[in-house]
Amino acid sequence: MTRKMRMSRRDFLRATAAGSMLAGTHWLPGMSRVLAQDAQEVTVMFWDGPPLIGIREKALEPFSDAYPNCALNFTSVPGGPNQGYNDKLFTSLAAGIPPDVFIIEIGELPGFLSRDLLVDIKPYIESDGYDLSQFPDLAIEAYSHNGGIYGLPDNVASIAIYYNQDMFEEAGAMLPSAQWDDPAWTVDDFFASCEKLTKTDANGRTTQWACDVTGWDKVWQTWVRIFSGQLVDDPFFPTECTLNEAAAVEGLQFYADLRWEYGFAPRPEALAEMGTNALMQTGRLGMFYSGSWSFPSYRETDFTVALGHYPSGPGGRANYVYYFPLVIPKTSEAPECAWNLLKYFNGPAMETIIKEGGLQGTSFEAQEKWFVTDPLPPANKHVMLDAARHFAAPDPVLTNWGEITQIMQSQIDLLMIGEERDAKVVADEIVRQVNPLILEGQWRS
Amino acid sequence: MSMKRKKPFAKFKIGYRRGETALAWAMVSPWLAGFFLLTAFPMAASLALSFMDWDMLSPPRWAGLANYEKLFFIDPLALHSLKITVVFSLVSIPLNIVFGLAIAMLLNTNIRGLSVFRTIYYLPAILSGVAVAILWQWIFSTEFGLLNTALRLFGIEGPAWLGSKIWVIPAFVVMRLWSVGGGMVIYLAGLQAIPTDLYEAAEIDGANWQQRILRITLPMLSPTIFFQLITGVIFSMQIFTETFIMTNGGPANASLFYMLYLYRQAFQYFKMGYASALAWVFFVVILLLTLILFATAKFWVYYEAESDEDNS
Repeated sequence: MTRKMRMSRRDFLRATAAGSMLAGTHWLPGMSRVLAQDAQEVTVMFWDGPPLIGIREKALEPFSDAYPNCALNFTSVPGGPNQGYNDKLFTSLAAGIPPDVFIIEIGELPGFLSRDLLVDIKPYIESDGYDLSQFPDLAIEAYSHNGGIYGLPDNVASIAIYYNQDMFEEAGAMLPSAQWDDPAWTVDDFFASCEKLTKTDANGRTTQWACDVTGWDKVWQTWVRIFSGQLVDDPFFPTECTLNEAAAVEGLQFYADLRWEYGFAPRPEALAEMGTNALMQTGRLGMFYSGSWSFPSYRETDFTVALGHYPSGPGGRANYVYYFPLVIPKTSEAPECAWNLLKYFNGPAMETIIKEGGLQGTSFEAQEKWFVTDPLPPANKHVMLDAARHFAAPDPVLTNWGEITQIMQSQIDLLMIGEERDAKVVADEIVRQVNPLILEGQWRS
Repeated sequence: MSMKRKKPFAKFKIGYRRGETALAWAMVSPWLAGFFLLTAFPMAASLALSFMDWDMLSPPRWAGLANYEKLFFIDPLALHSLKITVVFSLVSIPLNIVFGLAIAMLLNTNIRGLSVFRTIYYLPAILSGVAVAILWQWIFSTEFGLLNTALRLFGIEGPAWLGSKIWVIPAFVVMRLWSVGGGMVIYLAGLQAIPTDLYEAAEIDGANWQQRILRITLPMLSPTIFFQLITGVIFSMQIFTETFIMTNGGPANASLFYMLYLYRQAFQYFKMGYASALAWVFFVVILLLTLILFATAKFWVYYEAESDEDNS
């Protein structure tokens, strides 16, 4: 009996070899595709954190039904680019196995393009007759290089002024305009409103502030543009930082003075680290800057919250618009499926992404249909759409723009915390530190 | 005859030894594999990378000593971050030792509920670094934070701890004091290992409590203090989580500790070669500090065993 149960050495080797082959073929990507009815796997990676977790995945779920030859594999590293997403992305790129579709910050795009890592999607766009005019021109221009196009937007996100309408009306202050081409709502109007909104008690302590002065780079950069200043001489072919030119310095100085000279904005000692939102919610702050991600906090308030544009100055009206691209790496084994996924993401999936995820959306049509028409507060959501249409400004095209921004930021901090009151001093130091890096980051002539 | 009798025994012995050796290798092989694959090889690779430019997207390029030249002569932030890390450590380590030791001495007495106190003091040491950082962010919050609220009770308007260039480093020093419980346990073990007859003899000789601390407790505890000093240097110099979560190096790079700067170079700017150079310079700095401390040990660290050998 025991003899019969025994396996000969040869049988054992045969069985092991057969088992290994079976196991091996199962893990081979090609074979797994065969097993999955010839569907090509297309992996997409996002950085979705709350409240977006699960929303884009849900929106993309029907993709495989629409394209039966493409099997979607959705992954997400929550928390944004610097909270683990970039680590994972760059490690997978170094290993030669990146996702088939992934999102990158716009500042990272030149680094990818200069190394020829991305698939040119222009042939697909042309063969499908895909309409690019639905997206902001600036975004498509930023994704373009040497006649090719290397991505479609993941989202378009503008910044707006959130304001407490009741507080403005009570103070008799002019409301931030919601009309993009309104000749009124200038820097002077903004200043006059701030004067009316700021209140102090009998001891001279401020009890109500008009506006926020934040170190957020997109906000101070917008104030620089409002005063017709620029960060660099030419955003598409930068050679030097121009932040220390008169107009830019004037914008920076005006912005910092709102806090330190005029007392319209809470100082750091009065402003807790998470204080802007708390001050606004408790009716002690008149206005602050944010994107659509702050909507959930202002759905139910004791006062009316609405959105308005930045004021216009010598440089006109300005804003910053995020337009991070979704791209396809050249190593992708399923570029056609990846392209189909980009189309699906910007098509049928967008309704769920806007309605349930609260994003502004990518195409103007989708924003008009689902974002602007959302009846919940805050009011005037079209301000964000109009900002994307009219006021988007390009990020300088440099391979190291992220590093440069961080260096700028460390100096701007001095202005924000009042360690340095003279914007020219700060701007000069920024220019001194940044100019060598601009030369280092140039990649196209 | 005797040879014939010995032979099978010798064979068995050799076989046994071989088997034992093989078993020993098998037992240590997971550790060896881990050490070579996950520590030694990455270290060697990072040393090689420190002489190259590598952005993870294109192949590494030979750069010679350029990364080291940049670190020492071109990039002011590298030396700035090293300077504030050293300053932080110089303040933080002695305070941690003094507070840890003081609490251990207080808990080395016969009071009721001693184990409860020990647990309370040790608890912060087992909490996750990220959770602690977020908690302290709230404590340091200018307007609503516990610390400034407490100071207001005494009529003091606290500063913007994390928003001020002057106060941000002291804030991190205070925060580190919260976890002295980890050191306290080690001091406590050291205190309890001191023979009580030394104190009895001192008392008979009329020594007061200060003399007992200075002449008995501290010398007998000096190996433990030395151990805490070495680990404290390494721990303090590697401060990262707190600044990454709470200030991201700000304001105006005032809390840009060395490890955060290294992290930025590696995982935000993807300058792996430069980051490797930063890492190796940091390794050498910590190694030098450790060697200096070891060199001073003979002047102030008292080892009872060595003393016994000398006496014999």
